[in-house]
Amino acid sequence: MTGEIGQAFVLGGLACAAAGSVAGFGAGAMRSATGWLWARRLAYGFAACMLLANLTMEYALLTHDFSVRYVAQVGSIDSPTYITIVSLWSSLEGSILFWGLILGAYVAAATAANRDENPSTMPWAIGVWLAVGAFFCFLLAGPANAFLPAPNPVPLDGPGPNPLLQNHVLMIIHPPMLYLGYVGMTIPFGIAAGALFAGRLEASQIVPLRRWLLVAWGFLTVGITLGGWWAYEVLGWGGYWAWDPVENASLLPWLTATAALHAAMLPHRRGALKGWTVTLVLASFLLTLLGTFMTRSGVFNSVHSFSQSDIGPTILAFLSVCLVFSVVLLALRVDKLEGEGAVTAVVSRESAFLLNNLLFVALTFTVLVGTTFPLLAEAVKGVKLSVGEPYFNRMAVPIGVAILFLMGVGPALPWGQASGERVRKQVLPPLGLGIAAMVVGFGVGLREPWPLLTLGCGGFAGYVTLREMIGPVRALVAGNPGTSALGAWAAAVPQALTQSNRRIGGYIVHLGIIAMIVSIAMSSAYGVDAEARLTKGECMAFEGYDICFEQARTVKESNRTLEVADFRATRDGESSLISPALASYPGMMAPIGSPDVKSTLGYDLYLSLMSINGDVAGVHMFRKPIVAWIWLGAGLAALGTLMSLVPSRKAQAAAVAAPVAAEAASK
Amino acid sequence: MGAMLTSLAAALTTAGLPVDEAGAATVLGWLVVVLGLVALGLALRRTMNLKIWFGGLALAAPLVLVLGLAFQNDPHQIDSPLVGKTAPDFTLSPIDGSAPVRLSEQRGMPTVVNFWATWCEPCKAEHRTLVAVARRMEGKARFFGVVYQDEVAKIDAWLDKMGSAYPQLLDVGSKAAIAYGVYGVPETYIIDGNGVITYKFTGPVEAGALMQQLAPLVGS
Repeated sequence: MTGEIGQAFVLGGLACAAAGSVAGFGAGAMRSATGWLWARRLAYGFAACMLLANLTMEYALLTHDFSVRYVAQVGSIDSPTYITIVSLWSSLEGSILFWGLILGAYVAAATAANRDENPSTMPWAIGVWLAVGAFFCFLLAGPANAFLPAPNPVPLDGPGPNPLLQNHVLMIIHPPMLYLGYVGMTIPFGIAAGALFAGRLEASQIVPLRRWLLVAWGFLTVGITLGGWWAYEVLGWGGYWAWDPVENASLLPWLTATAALHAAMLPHRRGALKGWTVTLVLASFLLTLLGTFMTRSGVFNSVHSFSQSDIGPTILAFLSVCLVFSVVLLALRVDKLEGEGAVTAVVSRESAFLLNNLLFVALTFTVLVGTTFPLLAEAVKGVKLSVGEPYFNRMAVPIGVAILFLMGVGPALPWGQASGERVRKQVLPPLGLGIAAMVVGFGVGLREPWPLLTLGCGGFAGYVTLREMIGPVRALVAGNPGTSALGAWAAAVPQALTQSNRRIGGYIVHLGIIAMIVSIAMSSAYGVDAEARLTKGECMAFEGYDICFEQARTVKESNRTLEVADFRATRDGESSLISPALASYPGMMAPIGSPDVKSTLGYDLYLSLMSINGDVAGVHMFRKPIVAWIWLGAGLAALGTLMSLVPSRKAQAAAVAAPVAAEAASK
Repeated sequence: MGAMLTSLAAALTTAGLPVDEAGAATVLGWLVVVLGLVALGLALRRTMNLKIWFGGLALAAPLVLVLGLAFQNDPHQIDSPLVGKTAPDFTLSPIDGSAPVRLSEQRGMPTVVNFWATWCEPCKAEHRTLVAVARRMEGKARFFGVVYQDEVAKIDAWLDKMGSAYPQLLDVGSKAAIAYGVYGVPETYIIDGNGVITYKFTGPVEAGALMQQLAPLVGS
């Protein structure tokens, strides 16, 4: 029964999305207010159906209704309740259902937020969003139906979700964050397509475009980092990024979205590069579809792949349709967008942005080629090969360092033509700090050129970012003479935060990204590892630590059994207990490692249990510098994103003032 | 249509693109769509920005083709180093308590060795296929199930429900699985009459693919 109810909600969602999409396109083409009203109503209807379908599935999961096939696949009576709740997205069909929920929420929120703005382009945007919604409902109603009945007889218990996914709390947060990022790209895609349909992109459209792009970007950043963090905490190989096809798939839209966020500042300021901005937004959405294809088609071998399924061809068909749609739309309409402005000054913030865009696009192509090349090789030559880390590192490191350098150059330069005098004054002090950072790095023994250069560029970009960040505060202090210096600063900080929250938020994001790039460079270049077999009571020296194997113990939990090895690590009189484990789940052949990390801001000590046999433990030890700053940097980036998203007081005042002024003018 | 696809697949394979019939259909469909889009661009050349149109096509078309052809491959199908070598020998007791079976004494007829377990979900679907093919090949090929990390009581109950057509051997201590480098269940090895492994299936076998592997060995 539950299955039929869920099915009905999915079909209801399909009907709403399909009808709403038609209404949206119709309203856009004929400028019909009624069509626009109905498109909005149907958008809310789609969102409601998706919510109800998901609640139905949660109900089936929580009541262990094994007559629903999906519950029989991923449910288990022994699973803890929170695992049962999150198993909604632990397998293919459920994850698409959850995808539908997120899309519904986004469409409803974006419809509500933009209902009074841009009446000539928003109906087109709703049409596009709901067309995407209709496709996912079609997947749910057909090839990836989560509500199909279980085969007879109805099983009494299920195997529970994939053990790898049960193993760590991060796995509960990582997929939803990534989905929020992926699905979120639908909204800017719709707005950009709407701009193309209407043949214009004005400041009033760029604001929501950037805002929704930033929302998706923020979630994508957090999602990707959490994935790396999860890999680090769970997979036990001491790393967080392996250039795995599915990891690359999430990086691709992140790269183009980052480029798009920067590109969008140019038409906003200069009226230039509208077509380019729109292209990057379209590409970001298309790359999220490519990512969806890579994870769910079964053509890539990856820890992230869902089991083999037949929805791959359907997603590929949809990706192809969206590709053709985007190219046709661009080819037909882009000439109408090109506006008044142009980028003329060579030494200016604009040209730094352009260079930044080129680098991001180059990196996107590099990663895309590296990811799809093995498929090409297999199709043409029939050989299995993987491009592997060396290719990616050789290509990505120089581009990454160049981007880091530009993060300092761009903000240091003014908009428009800059005088040589001003450039020197803006650029030389930070450049000095960058060089000082390299000298210090060399002094403490860093010899590898790329990490050193990364450190230098990080120092340079960090200086510029901080200077630009406190710029608004300093301006306020300078404009408020008379009071004591401390009082002026205390008053200026909150005022600057509310007035220039977008700018300050953006620079906080930059600080986070700088911290991430520098710590990625350092931790991957200067990590040390060793393997050892220790008998109970035995100790060994590792990188200044004294590591002793104290005891082995077995912990039984409701859904798994842990073989835990307790190690005591002592260094400079400070000791800590590190307890890596091997987790065995019923229905899994090999146990899964659960490494344990002792993390400080300076160093991580990371122990991964390889084997345990009575009193003998095989252990892989890692010591890596400043890994924690990667996660902190991502946190900072998320914080900055949130700050930028809060509507600034200026914008609020303008929004209130506009209707009043219009009213006054009409009298 | 089928014959056309077969000859197209053969022609493409000779031209350096090894594809099966499904792959040939993919290439054909893709070619039609790309030509259609090129024609559309030319037809609308007055209103279209042709640089963007053809540039976009040049980027998108190869990507879609490569992704489409990728469906031919199974990334989980990893060639076993054992293929082409003599099958590792084992002596295992059937679960019904009859005399132990020694693999090297089974030569003279192709042999199928299927590693499985009752806790393995895909093994259920595969079991029906194996039973059906084993019945059809009776007297031409031998089938053995090797049950991995399992208990006799559970196996008996499972087989009562699912049906049985060939001896099921209990792999005590997983020795046979280790000798074969079994990575996960189900895995299925095809061994010819001389005891040489000719093929390995990773994951559940399909009837057609299994018959295709057995046909040249039984020589009928």
